[in-house]
Amino acid sequence: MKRILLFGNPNVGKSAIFTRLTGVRVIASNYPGTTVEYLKGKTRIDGNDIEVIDVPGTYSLVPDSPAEKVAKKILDKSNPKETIVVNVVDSTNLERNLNLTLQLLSTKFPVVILLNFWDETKHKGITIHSKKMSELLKVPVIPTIAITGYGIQELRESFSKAVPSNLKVKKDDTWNFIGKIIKKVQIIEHHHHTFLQVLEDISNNPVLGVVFAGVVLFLSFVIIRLIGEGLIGFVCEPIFENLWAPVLMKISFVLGESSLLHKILIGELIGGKIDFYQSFGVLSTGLFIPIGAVLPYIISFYFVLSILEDTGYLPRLAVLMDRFMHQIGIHGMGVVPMLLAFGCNVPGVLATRIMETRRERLIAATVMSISIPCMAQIAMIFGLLGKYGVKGIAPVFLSLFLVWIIVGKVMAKYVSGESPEIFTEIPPYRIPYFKVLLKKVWLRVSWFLKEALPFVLIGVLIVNLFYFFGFVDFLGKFFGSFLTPILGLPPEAVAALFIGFLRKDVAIGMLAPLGLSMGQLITASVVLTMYFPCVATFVVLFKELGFWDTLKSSVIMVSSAVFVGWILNLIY
Amino acid sequence: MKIMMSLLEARKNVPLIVKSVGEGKRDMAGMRGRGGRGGRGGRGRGNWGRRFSNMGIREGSIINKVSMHPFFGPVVIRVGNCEIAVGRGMASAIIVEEVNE
Repeated sequence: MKRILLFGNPNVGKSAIFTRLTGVRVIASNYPGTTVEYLKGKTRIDGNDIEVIDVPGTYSLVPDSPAEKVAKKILDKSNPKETIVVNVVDSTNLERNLNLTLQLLSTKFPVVILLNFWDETKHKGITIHSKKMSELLKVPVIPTIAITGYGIQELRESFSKAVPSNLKVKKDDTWNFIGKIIKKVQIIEHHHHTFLQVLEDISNNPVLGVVFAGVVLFLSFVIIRLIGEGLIGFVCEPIFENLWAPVLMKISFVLGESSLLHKILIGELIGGKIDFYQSFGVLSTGLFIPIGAVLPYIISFYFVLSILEDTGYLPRLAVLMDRFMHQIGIHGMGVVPMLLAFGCNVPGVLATRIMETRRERLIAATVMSISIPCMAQIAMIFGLLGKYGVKGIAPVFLSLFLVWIIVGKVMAKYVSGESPEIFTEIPPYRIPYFKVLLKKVWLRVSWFLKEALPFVLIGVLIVNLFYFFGFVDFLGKFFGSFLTPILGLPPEAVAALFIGFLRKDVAIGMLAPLGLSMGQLITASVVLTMYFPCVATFVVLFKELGFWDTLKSSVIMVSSAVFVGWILNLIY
Repeated sequence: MKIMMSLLEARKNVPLIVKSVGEGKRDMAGMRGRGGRGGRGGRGRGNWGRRFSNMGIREGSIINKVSMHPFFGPVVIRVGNCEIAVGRGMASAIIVEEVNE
C-alpha cells in the first residue's frame, strides 16, 4: 500500500482526520489546471511512508462542481492495488452520506468507513450499530471522534484488513438500499436541543439572525484589531526598533549617507535616525511593511476568518446576505470570496470559483478588486490616517462601500448571463478543532510571506532606483500635468500610483514622507485602492476571466477611480 | 384531505413529504425580477434534480421548512440532521404534502 485517499461529503471532519494521521509536514497543492486546492501529507504505517491525500469534499462520484471533478480525477488516477480509500462519514447524517459510500464500495478500491462525530450522535439521540453495518457492507466500519483522537488507532490497524467490498447495488435502487441499511443499523430517539442547536435556531431566524450577524461581525473586527495591534505594538515594533535598527545604523555608518547603496538599502535618515515608516530603504521600510506592519494583521485576520469558517458560520451569513448580494447580481455565497478578499485579493478572486456562472464571477472579481482593500492596504491606511481618528478613516471606507454598491448595481444591470439562486448546505455549528485551525492559518500566512515579501522588496528597490535617477520626477510631471488638477495631489503622489501596481501597501507607504493634508491622504488612499489591482491580483484576474473580461474590468476600474478621486477632491 | 403544494406555501416546522422535485417550473436556476437581466432556464433539470437528491431531497423524503427569509430571500430546509438553503425559485419547484401523524 502506498496511498490513502480521504473521501467524504463536505463538512464531515475530513481535515481533522487528515491532521490526526499526518502531523506537521503538509503541502497544499492545486490540482493541475484548476484552482481547486487539496492537501497532501505523509504517515508511517509498519515502518513505511504512506502518502495521505485530503480529497476535496464531494456528495457523489458523478461530479457537479470543479471540486467534485478533482475528487473524481484523483480517484481515477490512483491504482486500486496500492490505494486504500478511507470514507469519512458524518454519523449524524448517515442516510445522505451513504450515497457516496455505496458508490465508493462499488469501485475496485479497498474501503474503510469512519463514523465521524461519534460523540455528537449521543447528544442528538442517535444510536448506530457499527458492527452490523460492517457485516452488511463487508468493509471495516470504525466510530471516530477526530478531535479527541478516538478510533484513530483502530483505523491504523484496519489498513491491513481492508479489502474491496464488491457490493453491487443498481443505480436506481441506491436510495431504497440505503433505506434498508438505515433501518437495520440506526435508531433515533427524541432529544433536547443542545446549546449549539439553540444558537443555530437563532441564526436561522431572519430577525434574530441579523442581530446575531451584527454581533459576530463586530466581535470579529474587534478581535482582529486587538490581535493585530497587539502583535505590532508588543512584538514587531520592539523587535525592529531595538534589535534591527541598531544593525541598520551600523550599516548606514559604513556605507556613508550619500552613497547609492545607502539610498537603496537604508533610504533616508529622518532626524539622524531610521524611521521604519518613512526611510524607505529595502532593508528598513521594505522589510518593515510586510513583516512589521502587515503580517500581524494577516495573522489575526485569517485566524478570525478560519474560526468563522470552521464553526460553520459562513454559510449562515451567506443565507442572511443573499437578498443583499443579489443587489449586485450574485447570490449569498458571494459573501465568502468578498470576505477572503479583505485578507488578500488574490485568494478572493480565486474563491469566485464557487460561483456558478461567468456573469457572477466577472461581477464579483471586478467589484472586489475595485473596492475591497486587502489587509496590507488597510494596515497602511490605518497607519497613515489613524492619527486623524474616525474623521480620517471613515470617509475612505464609506467611499469604497458606496463604490462597491454602485459599480455592482451597474454591472448587474449590464453584464449579460445568468445569476442562479443560492443552493448550499448549512452544516451544524461545531467547536473548531484547534490543530486544524492553526494549520489553516499557517498555510495562508506562509502563502503571504512567499508571494508578497519578494514583491515588496522589489517594489521598494525600484522606487529607490527611480528616485535616484530622477524617473519619479519625470513620471510625476508627465502624468501629474493632467491628474493633479483632477485629483488635487502633488506630482510625487501621482508617481505612487505607478508603484501601486507592484504593491499597494508600498505605494501608500510612499505617501508618508510627502506631508499631505488629511483630504489629500483620503483621496490618495481611495484612488490607490480602486484604480488598478496589484500585479499579483491582475495575474489571477487574467487567468480567471480571460483577456476580454479583464480588459472590461480594467476599464471600469481606471475610469471609476479617476471619477471618485475627482469627487473626493471637490469635497475636501 | 391532503393538499399538495409548493414548499413556498407550506407551513413551517411540520413534517412534509416530498411529492415531486423540479416539475413544472422552467426557471429553477434563474433569479428573475430585481437584480437586472437575470437568467432563464438554467442548467437543466437533471443537474438540479441530482443535486437535490444528493442532499437528501427526493420523492418520498421527509423534510421540514425551518425559515423563509424576507424580501424573497432563501428558504431554509431541514433534512434529517442537515440544513439546506435554497432560493425561492428552486423552493417553488419542490412539491410537498403535510404528513398527518
